[in-house]
Amino acid sequence: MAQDADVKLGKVLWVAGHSGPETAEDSRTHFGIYSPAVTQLFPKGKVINLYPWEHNEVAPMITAAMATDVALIALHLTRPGVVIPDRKKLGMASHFEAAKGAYLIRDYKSGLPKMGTIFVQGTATTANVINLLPELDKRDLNVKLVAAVSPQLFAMQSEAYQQETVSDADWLDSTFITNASAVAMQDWTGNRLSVEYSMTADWDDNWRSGGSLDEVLEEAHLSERWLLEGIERFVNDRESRINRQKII
Amino acid sequence: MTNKTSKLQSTADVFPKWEKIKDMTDQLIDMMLNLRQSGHPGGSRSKVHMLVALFLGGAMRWDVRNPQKRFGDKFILSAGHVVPGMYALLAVFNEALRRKYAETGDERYKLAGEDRVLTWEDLLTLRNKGGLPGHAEMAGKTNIFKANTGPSGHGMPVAVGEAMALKYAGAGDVRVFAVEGEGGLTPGATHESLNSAYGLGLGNLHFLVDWNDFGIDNRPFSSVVYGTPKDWFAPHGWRVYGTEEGSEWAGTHSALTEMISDENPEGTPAMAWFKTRKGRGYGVYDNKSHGAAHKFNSAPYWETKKEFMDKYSIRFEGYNEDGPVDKAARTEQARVNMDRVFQVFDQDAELVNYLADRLVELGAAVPEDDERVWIDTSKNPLDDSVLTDIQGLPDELFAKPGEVAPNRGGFSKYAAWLNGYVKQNYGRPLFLAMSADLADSTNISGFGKPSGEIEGYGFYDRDKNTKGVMLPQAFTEFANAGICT
Ligand SMILES: Cc1ncc(C[n+]2csc(CCOP(=O)(O)OP(=O)(O)O)c2C)c(N)n1
Ligand SMILES: [Mg+2]
Repeated sequence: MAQDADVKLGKVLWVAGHSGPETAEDSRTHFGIYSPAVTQLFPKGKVINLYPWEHNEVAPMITAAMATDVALIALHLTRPGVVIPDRKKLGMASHFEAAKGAYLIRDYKSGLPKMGTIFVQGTATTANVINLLPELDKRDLNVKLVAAVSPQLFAMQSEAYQQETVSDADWLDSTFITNASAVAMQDWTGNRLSVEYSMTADWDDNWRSGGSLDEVLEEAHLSERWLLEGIERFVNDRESRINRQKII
Repeated sequence: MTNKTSKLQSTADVFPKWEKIKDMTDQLIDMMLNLRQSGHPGGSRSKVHMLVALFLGGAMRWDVRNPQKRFGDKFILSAGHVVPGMYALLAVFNEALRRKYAETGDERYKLAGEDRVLTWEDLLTLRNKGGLPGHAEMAGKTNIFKANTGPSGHGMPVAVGEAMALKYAGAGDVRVFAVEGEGGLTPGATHESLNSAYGLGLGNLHFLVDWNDFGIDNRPFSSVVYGTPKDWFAPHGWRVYGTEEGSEWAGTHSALTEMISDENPEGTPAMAWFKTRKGRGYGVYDNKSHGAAHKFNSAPYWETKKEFMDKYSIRFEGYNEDGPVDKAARTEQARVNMDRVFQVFDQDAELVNYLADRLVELGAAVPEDDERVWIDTSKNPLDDSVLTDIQGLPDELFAKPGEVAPNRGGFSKYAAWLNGYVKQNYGRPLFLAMSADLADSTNISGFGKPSGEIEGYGFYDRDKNTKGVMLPQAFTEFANAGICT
C-alpha cells in the first residue's frame, strides 16, 4: 500500500461502523462527529470515502469504488434503521445514482427563483430532509438538494454530470447539512460562507452528548424543525450572502 | 518443500567467517554514519550478530538476489531506525556475489539490475534524497523489508498480518521474521499483536528481540518495565527461546535454530531474545549510543576503527586526522575507506567463496511452489466485470420503499453476496474481515455468511475452520489496522 512500494496489491475496506450521532444511545464516548474525518486525511487518489445514508446505497457505492484503482475504501455506516424512501414518488434519483458520489434529491423548481444549493450527508440528516420536502414546497423554499455521498466518486464523473448536478454557480451559492462536523465536509465547502450557513452536529463548536436519537438530534440542531429553520435562514439571506461574496 | 532444517548451517566452522562479516558490517555502519552525521549506531550494532545468524544460519530461507520470491521467508525490521545495520549487511552480502560473479561469470552469482541491488557505494547516500532512506522502506533496493517501518513496535501488527495471509493461503511454511528492540515492545500494539498471533495460530511467525535494555532516555527499560522478554511473550501462549549471549555466535545461532526446529503441532508463534549491549564496539553505550554518530572524524570515531585496522592490517585514509571539511572530499574519503573494508575479502578468498555460495545455496532452497496453496492467484476477481456492474447487482441486496432498514444491513447483504460470488466463481473469498469483537454489530460478519445456496466461509478458527473469513479478533483495533496492510 505504501506510496512508493513496488508491490501494490488488493483493497482495504475500512468500515467506520456506528458512525455519527445516530449512535446516540451509547453516548458520546461511542461516536464521533469530528473523528470520522480522519479517513479523509489521505492524498487525493489514495482513498475513497463513502457515506451512504441508507441501506440501498451501500452496494452500488462499494461496487463503484471497487471498480477504481484506489486501494483504500472507507465506508461510513450508521446504526439505526430508517425508512427506505420511495424515490420514484418523491422525484428523487434512484439509489443506483449514489454510485456517482452525488445526486439530486430535488432540483430547483421552475417558475420560482433559485435560492441556493444544499449538500446533504448522513443518515438521520438526509432522512429528515426528505421528510421536509413537502414543507419546503409549501413555503416556496426553492433550494436544490444534493445528496453528497462520496466526494471522490463524484469527482470521477464526467464534467457534464458534475455540472448538471452542481454547476459553478451552485457551488458559490451553497451550504451543507451533515450529521458530522463542518470540518468533515471540507469537500463540500463551496464558498467562504458555506460553514456559516451550514447545519452540522457541531453548530456550537462542541461535541455532542448522548441520549435517545431524537434528543441528540435536537441537541445537534439537526431535527426537522432546526433544519427547516436553517434552510430558511440560508434562503432569506441569499442577497446578503451573494453580496458578501462579491469581490469588488 | 525442503525439510525445515536441512539448510541449517552446521556450526563451529562458520563462526570465524561470520565474525569477519560482522566486523565488516560494523565498520560500514560507522562509516556511513560518520559521513552523514545522522542515523542510529547503537541499535544497529547490537543487532549484527542476530542478523548475520538469521540471514546465513538457515533459519530464514531467502534469496538475496530476489527478495520478492513468492515462497521466500519474509523479513520485517520492526525496529526501523536500525536500518543502517541492514544496509551494511546487505552491502557485504552483495559485494561477495558481485566479486564472485566478476570472477566466474557464473549466472548463479548474478545480481539483479542496479536499481534493485544495494551495493556498498549506496551507503554513501544514506539519508539523502533519492538515496538510502533514514528508516526501512519496502522498495527498490530494499525489498528485503516487507513493510515500511520506523514507528517503534508498529511492525508487529504488520508481521502478524503477513503471517496470517501466508497461512491462510496455504503457504504456512513460509516464515515471517520480525526484529524489534525491547523498547519497541512497549507500545500497546504489541499486546494486541501477541494475542492476535496466538489466536490466529501463527506458527510461522517469529519475533527476534534485541534486549539491550535501552532506548533514547537516560534510564534502562528494566527500571520502568517489569520482567523479561519471556515474561512479556510466554503468558500470551508464545514459545520462547533466547540467549544471554546475543553478541556471541553459539548462543545466537542455537536460539534461532531451536526456535525453528522445535516441533510445533499447536501452531503457536515463537520469539527469540538476544541479550546484547547497545552500542557494542562503538565506544559509547546504552542510550548514549542510540541516535547520534560520533562527531565527524573525531578521536572517538577513529577509536572505533583501531581494532579493525590492527586485526586486519588495513589502514584507513585520514586516520586520526579531523579533516576534510568539504562534502565532496568527505564523501571521497568515505568511499576509499569503505572500499578498504573489503580488503578483508581480498585477504580471504575462502570467505568470499563461503559467503557467495551460502547465499546462493539459501536462495536455491526457497521453494518454487507449494501444492497446498489453494488460492488461485492466476485469476484476479477484481478484474471480474460482474463485481463492478452496478446495475447488475442482484435485487435481493435491496430493501423495498417503506421498509425500515439500517445501511449497515445493506452492507451485510452485499458482503455475503460478494464473497459468495467470488467463492462460486474463483473458489476463494475476496475479503477477509476483522473488527474488535464487533463482527455482527458492525455487520462485517456478512462476509462470512451464506449467499443464497452458497455456503458462507464463516468464522476463522485456527484448528477447525482455517478457511473462515471472519477473523475472530478480540479488542484489537490497533493491531487490526496493521494486520490489514
Ligand atoms: C511509536 C514510537 N515512539 C517513539 C519513537 C522514537 N524512538 C525511536 S527509536 C526509540 C528507542 C528504541 O528503543 P528500542 O526499541 O529498545 O530499540 P533499540 O534499543 O534496539 O535501538 C524511540 C523512543 C518511535 N520511533 N516510535
Ligand atoms: Mg533497546
